[in-house]
Amino acid sequence: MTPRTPSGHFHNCVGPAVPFSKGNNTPNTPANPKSGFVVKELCFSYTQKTLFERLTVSIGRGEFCSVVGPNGAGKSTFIKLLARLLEPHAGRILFEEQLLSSYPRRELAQRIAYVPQESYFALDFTVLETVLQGRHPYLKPLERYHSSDFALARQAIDRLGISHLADKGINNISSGERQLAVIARSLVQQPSVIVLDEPLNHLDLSHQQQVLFLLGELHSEGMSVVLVAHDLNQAALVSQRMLVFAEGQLVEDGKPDDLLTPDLVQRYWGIRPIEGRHPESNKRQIFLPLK
Amino acid sequence: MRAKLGWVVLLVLLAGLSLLALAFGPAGLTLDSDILASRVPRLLLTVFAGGILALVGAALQGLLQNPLVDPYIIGSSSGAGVGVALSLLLGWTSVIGRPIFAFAGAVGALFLVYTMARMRGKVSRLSLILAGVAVSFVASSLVMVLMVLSREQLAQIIYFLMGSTKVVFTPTKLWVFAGSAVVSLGAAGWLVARWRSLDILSTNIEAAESLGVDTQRLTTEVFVLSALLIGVVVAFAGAISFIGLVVPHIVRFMFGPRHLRVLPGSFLAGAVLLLASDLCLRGFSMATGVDLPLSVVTALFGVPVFLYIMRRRLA
Repeated sequence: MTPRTPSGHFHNCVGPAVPFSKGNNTPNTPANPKSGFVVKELCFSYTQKTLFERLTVSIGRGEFCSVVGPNGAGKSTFIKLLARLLEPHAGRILFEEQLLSSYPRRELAQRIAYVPQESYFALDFTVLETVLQGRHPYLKPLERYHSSDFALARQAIDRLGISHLADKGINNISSGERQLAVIARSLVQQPSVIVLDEPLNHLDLSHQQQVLFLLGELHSEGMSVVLVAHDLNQAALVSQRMLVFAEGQLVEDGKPDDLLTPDLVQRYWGIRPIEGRHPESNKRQIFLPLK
Repeated sequence: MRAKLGWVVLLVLLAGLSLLALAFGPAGLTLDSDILASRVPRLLLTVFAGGILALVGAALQGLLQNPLVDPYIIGSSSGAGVGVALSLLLGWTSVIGRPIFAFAGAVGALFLVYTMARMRGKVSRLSLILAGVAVSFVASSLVMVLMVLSREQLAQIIYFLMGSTKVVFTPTKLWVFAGSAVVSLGAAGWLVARWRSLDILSTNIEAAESLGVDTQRLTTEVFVLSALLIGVVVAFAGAISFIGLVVPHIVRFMFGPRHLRVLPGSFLAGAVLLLASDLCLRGFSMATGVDLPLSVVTALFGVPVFLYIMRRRLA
């Protein structure tokens, strides 16, 4: 049995790279803003804090976009709004030229996957059972998982390098390994967009590299990636475009290599870093001064 | 393998205890048709009450992500208690009058809890627990007041509040029970159909929504169906404690955490545990001539099993 996928946005993101079946996006081509997210005049505030006032920005299909900014800048809120985990108070968000709020929840879950900053599990499912939950948007209420769902879940687990943990309890592995399982679960959703909220927080260096490579691969397969990151260097290395938020406003939007300057960091983070270049990619990097 | 063995054990126990419940009672070991006419409804009520209490307990523990949640935490049994105490005080104690009052009390409590828990059009899991506890306390106070006001019926109210399936069934009451049971089993099936959503709800609420679970709708569905099911059980069998708290833990130990197994497994295990408790009561009644309420035995049965499993899991 072949995996069932929603029409029009097929992604075999758990297996080897498969080109996009529809649309004219090819890997790393300029994105088409109409078919991705279009945020218009967005307003959002929490009880005691206004975050966005008339925010307007587009994220095109197939783009790899990093979202950076100091703490409390509204990065997580922004991607939660994109994933429709929060509703705007005013303005609108279009996704694939349709109002985001008009999508049924399950249909949206077939298109947009969200990886939270931290995950907790009240019940001790195995890693495989946890990853299988990513197939929920494709299954009817009483429908059980099919062999194709198991195959997809195992592929995703393999891709994240946690096959040896498949039968372990999700609460009996490290927080980093748990984050990998959650990323595997998001791949099983076969989305066209993946939004990640600081996914590297609990990962050791090798796992950080693994996830960054994976995001690069997903992007080259045609998937849109929106990555909230605290590490500006990592964001600059992997993304095509950087959105800088500060105090609830989008303050900078451009190519990472143009934006990542000591002036920008000093303006929004309050410290002046030392500028440098990555020895392999020659991309702009910053280093914290010791004095 | 372990799960398959678990199903077999539960089904064999249910069949064996059901036969025993039909053959064994104060009238002795018999399959006389007149005796059976009273034992069959009692058996059916015991299986229904035990099964529904445990299934609802498992669904609510899954929904509220709290292993200490008991079906009675959502307030509907306390509401039913008020209804029964009121029916006794008003003297409306016909065989179907009391269940109707009990059910009305449960629905009233459900309405109160849901209204209190709803804020800005949304119902959170925490607010449901808090509102349920608040309504339970208020209802318990009301029951105390009604008990004081109707001293002659004090024993009846206390007996009801601790649960019993030794119920006199007239033909009308039997039909009402049969109808309620069929509708309730349909509602229980609806809860079982939500198994994967309940599984997913064990993670962050935002992650659950991003996986396509409508958490608001699920919360409302599970809460309302649970409260109505508990209302039906309490209306016919009183407030039987411990089954809804303990059985889901036993079943998770046997089958793992997936609600596809935990919900039907809890129904079977709840029915088995309540049948065993009821048989103990019958034995005690035959030996001493004293009828004890079910909650006494369910606690004596349930707590040691619960402690054993808890210690094994923690070890």
